[in-house]
Amino acid sequence: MRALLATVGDRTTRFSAEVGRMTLFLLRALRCLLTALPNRETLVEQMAAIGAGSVVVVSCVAVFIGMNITLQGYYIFKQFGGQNMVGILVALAVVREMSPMTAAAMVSAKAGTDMAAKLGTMRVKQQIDAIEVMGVNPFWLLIVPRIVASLLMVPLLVTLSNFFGLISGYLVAVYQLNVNPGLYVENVLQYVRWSDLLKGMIKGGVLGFILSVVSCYYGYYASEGAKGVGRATNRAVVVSCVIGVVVNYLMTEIMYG
Amino acid sequence: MIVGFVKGVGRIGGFGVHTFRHALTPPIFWRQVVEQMHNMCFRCFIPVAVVLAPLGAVVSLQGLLILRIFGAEPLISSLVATAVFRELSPGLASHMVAAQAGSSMAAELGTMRVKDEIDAQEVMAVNPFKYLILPRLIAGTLVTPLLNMVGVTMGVLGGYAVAVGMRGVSHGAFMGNMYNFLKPMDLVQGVAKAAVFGFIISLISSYNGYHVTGGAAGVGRATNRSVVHSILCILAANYILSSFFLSIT
Repeated sequence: MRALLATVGDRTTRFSAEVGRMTLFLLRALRCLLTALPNRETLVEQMAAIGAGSVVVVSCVAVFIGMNITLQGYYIFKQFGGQNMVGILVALAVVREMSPMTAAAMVSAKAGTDMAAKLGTMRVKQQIDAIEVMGVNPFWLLIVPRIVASLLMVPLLVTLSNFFGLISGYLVAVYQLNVNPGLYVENVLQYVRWSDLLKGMIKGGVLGFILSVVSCYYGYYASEGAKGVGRATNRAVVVSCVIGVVVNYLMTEIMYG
Repeated sequence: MIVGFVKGVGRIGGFGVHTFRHALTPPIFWRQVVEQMHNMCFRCFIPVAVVLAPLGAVVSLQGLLILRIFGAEPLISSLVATAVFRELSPGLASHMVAAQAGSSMAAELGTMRVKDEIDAQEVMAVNPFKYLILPRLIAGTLVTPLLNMVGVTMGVLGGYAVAVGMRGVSHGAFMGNMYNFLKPMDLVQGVAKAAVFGFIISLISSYNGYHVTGGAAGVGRATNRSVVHSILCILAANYILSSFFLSIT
């Protein structure tokens, strides 16, 4: 009993310490972001890495997600005899929820782990300390550009993901399941509003901000050589997924609730 | 690039066949299997539970908006249960397993490779495929379906919390309509999918970890690649499996 209480207490303390440290990290990054323009070279480089680097993955994932939603939706709507209405489900599911979430999840799996691994390696090889010694603020040089880049690029990837999700849904619906093509397009156009697209992009921006802050945090505080870098990348994906899903629920509640 | 892709697929296939051959000849280190299963369960339990609950809630929230068009709000539980059982829980639970257990698998094996521990084991006549990789494959295939069960429970609970707790759907309607469209086959389908995904995740992650080169940076790269590749393969396999299961029911 006592050991159990000790473990729970220990875990709670460590958890609170982690939350506090992450908040401080966020505040330092924000202060740096508001007082100075981020390093332009790193910013452009990161925008290319996050945006162009994730295009293939995000579109592949979006294609599969659109295909799957169409398939499942078709068999559910068929029970009501409404299989031609499957476009409504695909449109709303893809544009409102799946695109922002999957785009952010894939950016976090690809670019986020990369951020954690890069910064972690730099920390382990004491390059970050070297940067500080040279009087350069590592937040300005390394972290803020990554955060800004992912804040800017994830919304664009969300739009790309919308496109591929709807197109692949169309292909599956029309060619595999024989849904009326005109009705599919009509339903998509009728039920997706401009505000939905915009809300999806806002969601994507917020999720991109979160994932880059979390990934940079774990990379920045990596320790213990190769093992520590591995652990940092691992933590970066898992924690940004968990926080992202919870925040996504809150945003859905605010935007549509 | 295409040649590289085909080569990579072939090498993962060869890796899988090699491991499979070791699975057929004794001894299998069951102690390692149990240890890996215990590890995976403990590491993934909380992420799976924490991710699936808000997702169920989101499905419920958005589903109510759609069903309101038809005036069919009490049917929300059918939607939530079907979506969670068939797609969300197998997909997202495996996503989290890939992010948590898969990447740590790659990191562990990669660290061992970088520190020459795998070579040391080979020198001591311990076969790394038997001792390190096969247990991980078996554990991944067995544990992911269990985590899928956790995910299903949490997803439906999340949906229940939003629909009944915040949006005023009655408890009776929620529970009553839950099994409208669910068949036992859906549960089997979810479990089968999760097992396949678990196998894919552990195969890809151990492959990437086993072939790490280049120190700490290489380990980071391997974990990165193992997560991305496993998620892509999971999604592709998911579509094929969904098509298959939906066409036979």
